[in-house]
Amino acid sequence: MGRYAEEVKIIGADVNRLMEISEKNLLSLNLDEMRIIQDYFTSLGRNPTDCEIETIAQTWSEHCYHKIFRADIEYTEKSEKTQKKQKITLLKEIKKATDKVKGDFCISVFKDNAGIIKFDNKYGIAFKVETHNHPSALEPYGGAGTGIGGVIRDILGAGKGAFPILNTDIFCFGLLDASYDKLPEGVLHPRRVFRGVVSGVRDYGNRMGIPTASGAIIFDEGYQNNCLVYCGTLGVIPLDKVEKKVCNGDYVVVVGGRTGRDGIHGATFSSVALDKDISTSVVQIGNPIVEKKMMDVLIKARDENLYNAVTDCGAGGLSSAVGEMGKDVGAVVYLEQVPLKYEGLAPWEIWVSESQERMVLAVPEKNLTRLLQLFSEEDVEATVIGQFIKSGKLEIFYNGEQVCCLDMNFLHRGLPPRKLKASFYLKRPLTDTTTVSGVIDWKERIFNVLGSSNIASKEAVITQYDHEVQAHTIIKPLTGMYHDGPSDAVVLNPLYDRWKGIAVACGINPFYGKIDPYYMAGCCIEEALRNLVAVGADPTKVAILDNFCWGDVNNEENLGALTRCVKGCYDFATGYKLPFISGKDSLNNFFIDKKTGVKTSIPGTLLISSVGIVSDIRKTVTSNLKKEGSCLYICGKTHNEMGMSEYYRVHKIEGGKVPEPLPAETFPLMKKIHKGIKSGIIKSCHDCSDGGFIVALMEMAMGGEKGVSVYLDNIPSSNNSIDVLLFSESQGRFIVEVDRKFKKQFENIMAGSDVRYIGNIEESDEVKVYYKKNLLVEIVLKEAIDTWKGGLKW
Amino acid sequence: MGRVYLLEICNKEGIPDVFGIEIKKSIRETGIPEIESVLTSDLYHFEGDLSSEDITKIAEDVLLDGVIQEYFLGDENIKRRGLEYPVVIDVFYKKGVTDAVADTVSIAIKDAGIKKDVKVSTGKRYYLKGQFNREELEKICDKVLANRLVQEYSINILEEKNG
Amino acid sequence: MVKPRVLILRVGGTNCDRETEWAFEIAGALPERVHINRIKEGNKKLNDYQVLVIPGGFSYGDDISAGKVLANEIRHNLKDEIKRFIEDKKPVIGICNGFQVLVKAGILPWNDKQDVSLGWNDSARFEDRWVYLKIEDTKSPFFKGLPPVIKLPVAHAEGKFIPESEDILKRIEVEKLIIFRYCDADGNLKGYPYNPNGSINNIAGISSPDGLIVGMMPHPERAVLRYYYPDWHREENREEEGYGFIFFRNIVKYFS
Repeated sequence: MGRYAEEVKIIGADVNRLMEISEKNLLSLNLDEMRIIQDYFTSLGRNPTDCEIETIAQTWSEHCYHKIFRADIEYTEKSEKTQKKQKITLLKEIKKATDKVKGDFCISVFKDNAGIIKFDNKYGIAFKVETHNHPSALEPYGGAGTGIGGVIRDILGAGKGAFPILNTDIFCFGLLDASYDKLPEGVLHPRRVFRGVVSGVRDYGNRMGIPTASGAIIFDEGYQNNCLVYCGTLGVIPLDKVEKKVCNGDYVVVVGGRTGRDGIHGATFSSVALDKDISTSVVQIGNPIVEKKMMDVLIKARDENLYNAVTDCGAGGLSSAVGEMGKDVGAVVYLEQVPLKYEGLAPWEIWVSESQERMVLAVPEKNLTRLLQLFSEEDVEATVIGQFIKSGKLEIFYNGEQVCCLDMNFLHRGLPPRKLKASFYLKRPLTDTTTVSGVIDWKERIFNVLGSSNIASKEAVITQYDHEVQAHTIIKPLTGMYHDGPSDAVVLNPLYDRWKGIAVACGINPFYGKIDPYYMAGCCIEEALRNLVAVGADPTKVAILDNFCWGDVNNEENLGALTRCVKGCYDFATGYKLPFISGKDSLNNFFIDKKTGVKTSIPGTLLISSVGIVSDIRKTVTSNLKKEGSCLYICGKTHNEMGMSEYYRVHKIEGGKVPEPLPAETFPLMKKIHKGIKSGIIKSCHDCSDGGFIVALMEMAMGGEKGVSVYLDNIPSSNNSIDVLLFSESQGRFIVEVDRKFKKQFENIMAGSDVRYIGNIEESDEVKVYYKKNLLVEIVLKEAIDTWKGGLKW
Repeated sequence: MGRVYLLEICNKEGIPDVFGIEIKKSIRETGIPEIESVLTSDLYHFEGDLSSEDITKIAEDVLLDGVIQEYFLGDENIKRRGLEYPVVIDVFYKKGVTDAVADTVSIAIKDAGIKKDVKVSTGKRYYLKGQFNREELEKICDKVLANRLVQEYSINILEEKNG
Repeated sequence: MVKPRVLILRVGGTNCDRETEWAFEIAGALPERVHINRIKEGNKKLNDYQVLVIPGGFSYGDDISAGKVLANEIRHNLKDEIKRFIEDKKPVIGICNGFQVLVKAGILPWNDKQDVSLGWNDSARFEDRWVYLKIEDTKSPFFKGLPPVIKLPVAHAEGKFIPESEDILKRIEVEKLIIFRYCDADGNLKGYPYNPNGSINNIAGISSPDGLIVGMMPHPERAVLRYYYPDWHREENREEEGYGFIFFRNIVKYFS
């Protein structure tokens, strides 16, 4: 072929040869896809170049193209007696939910780098959550750092650029006390992964000057070989900057960092199983200051209206960024213009490199000089590397030689949906083994749950993040001067000159999914919403994001579980009238132990992130108790839903039903709670979730350093055994503190819902729980705080 | 080809080495209780047409916080500490891996008036006190001090050399 | 009252500049965020401003050590301008990273050589937490009107105050250069977490002998409203101005 590009001999290649090409070049394309490429080039009468085949592989990678979520799935749901078949496309199912409930609150959904909702008449809020699982498993510090760096660029590349105001992070790790000697070869110890990931997010996020203030950490042995690292960013964007459109003649300008051999094949690799021999170039260390400098100038350039469109260089590098921006126009790129970190890169490597901290702008000629000047004023590199030209083609040159010429149409629309089969077996609910016989030390049981790593305080992590930079963190992740209790959600006032704010939270519970991913979806969605309601967000102005991390989806049952989870997403999102505004999937999170050949998949994991509007941040509440003499109420009904509860897992009890959310009861209840908070009647509020009623109560008491007496018998419940009342994780429940003088008003607001007066806040340092008029257990707060704070050590 | 220099910067006597304490804890967790103490230093590797005045200026003006730190050239500090810390491990990034600190040092050197072409890389030096066999040392490196995907390390056992 | 012009110095990695700008704005000043390149090339002149602020953040990534590279850049490029600025009795404020810069550039406390440092936290990690601060008998006019014990957040990895010698420490104490010290709610000096980084003598901020150059690890710009306090839901007087606001207003008042 030419001097700079190699010919890939695909015309006439047989099945074996086609797969050999895919595998040898780490393209991750299957036979059907290779055949489509073969047909395309056969019709052109020539073989592709290495650059072309790499471009196609990037664009069609699972990471970029979401082949599973776009696939036509034939889904079978079986139970003992019945069998139901259904045709379903996962992505359409999610979007269908949004279409049903969105309204004018959603400004941009599922089309840009992030979803955008309306904040007020001038501003919108952009939100995106990404995963960076595989790189983080291999090099936790670099993997997590570049994960957060990447999602920040998504926000900078949303519309014409949103200004980042908050990072969220949610991690799933293996058990920290795992034995060092039993780890498979190539697997880092969960403790090292934990420390590395947290440090990576800390060092990158803190240096970006963006508060990291919302998140969760889950520990389960299922994540030992494949950790999960979710990184999210929210940004503020003026509404007149939401639309972007590349125009014919705009220059392609790359800004920020230089290009090296980093992360080549990152996009194709992200959906390949981990094994210990993966080449090292997929692992990167980021440089946050390069990104920070780029961000500072980018926002200036945006405000001067200097460019028509922007996007980030993420997976697939320039190939994805330029390809995506130019897909309705066409583009010519001169790769020798791209600034390199070092010499020696082949053109295709420049093109698909995933070097961090780069973005691509479409700049009209009249603004080019000013734009380049702005960037150079702050020592940020900005380089013209090509032009968007109305041709419908992607043409790439290197030193005058054409190394790629592809139809945009083929590249972006040439891949037909896959046809897949999925099945799910609905197990009969296992009978409960609830109440354990013998004398029970309830205090010990409560402390076992309170100090378990999943419930315990994440203070050691949270304090390492600068969660207050930008000075707008109104409700912080932990309550009080000394972090003695958790908050349900973080609240920000992103614009200094107004009281309007946003609340951000999440819902995640992979344990429920082990029994039924449908209700897992419901519980995650409800929890993400409930957390916002608990701080005072308006439940009718909330948007959510979905992030699926799944195991081996080539397996029909795993794909079936994923499908059932998506069905849950549809039903419960519409049930609570919550639009999905953005989503992402990371599939094939599994590990093959080279020695034993054993394959382990992660537990199917759904993260729901939520953002809601708070009309006045002064009218929010926190979870910690405020005042002696106040009354405590529980809102919402308790059921025997102990399956996979923290209590069952800690005490190794099997069976039971997972919680089944009830939107028809809970959504109206949430609206009433919101009214109570807004009117100032509710002084503190906390939702019951992991660990059940007693954990929520303890957290309120610890955070407020206030004693309480509560009467379990008063809790409205369909089951009155002590363990259910204390530990069931039934959804739709809040504990609230009401000033005694507002008792009547409160009860009026809540009329029609299951709401009961359960006890009082007292001038003491103990939590006392009564059952059938007897003192069941009393707990000294100091001891509880030590247990809760001691459960997770750095 | 320019000259090669290695600068080592560590805390002065009496200023606690907080990272050493953390690393000792991590090494213990991997099941090596023999670790008695760890000290850490920052390493700066320079390659270029630098005079010894240049390197002194880089050390004292660009890098050093003279209130709490001291610096050494090459293996001066290893010799100084002697057999009290019989194991010294150097960790550097592999070629091609982003070394943000090195980029900053390059800028800082120019700002200090040394307008020469200098290649900089940065690393860490760990001094270990305790009795270990080779296998344990590799475990310490692989499980705590370095990740071979992005870094490379060298283990220097003083007793072997001196004996 | 003439609004003082405040130059908020910015470099790659500065990140508390926006909230610092807002704090000065509501305190009645005319703040401007200026990149150091503009001063170095002469487009902006330090002399045209009445207050110089080096805000928080991670200048140059805090590579080498926190604030070190910017401190050198100032020493190498702006030494004379800063000297004149100080001689003109114009306030120089360093918050967090700015404090690290002022100390490493030798500007604080005696605008001479580096006499003190801010080393790594004893915990060996970055920590963001609120602290109580006991205000000392300071010469700085910017801490008037504050109660004896206030609270502010700290957020840093390298904030442990370390003097070069006992003599230096003594001089700092004798010359009353200490602005405030970490303490508990009642003003008692205590260890971690009250003293979040292990600072010698719990020192959290110092000034020059004339009180006009001020450096501190805590972030007053994150406490201009009480709604930023960690427990404002329990504050009776939550509408009142925050401790941070009083600090910024005092700077503005200095010019009246």
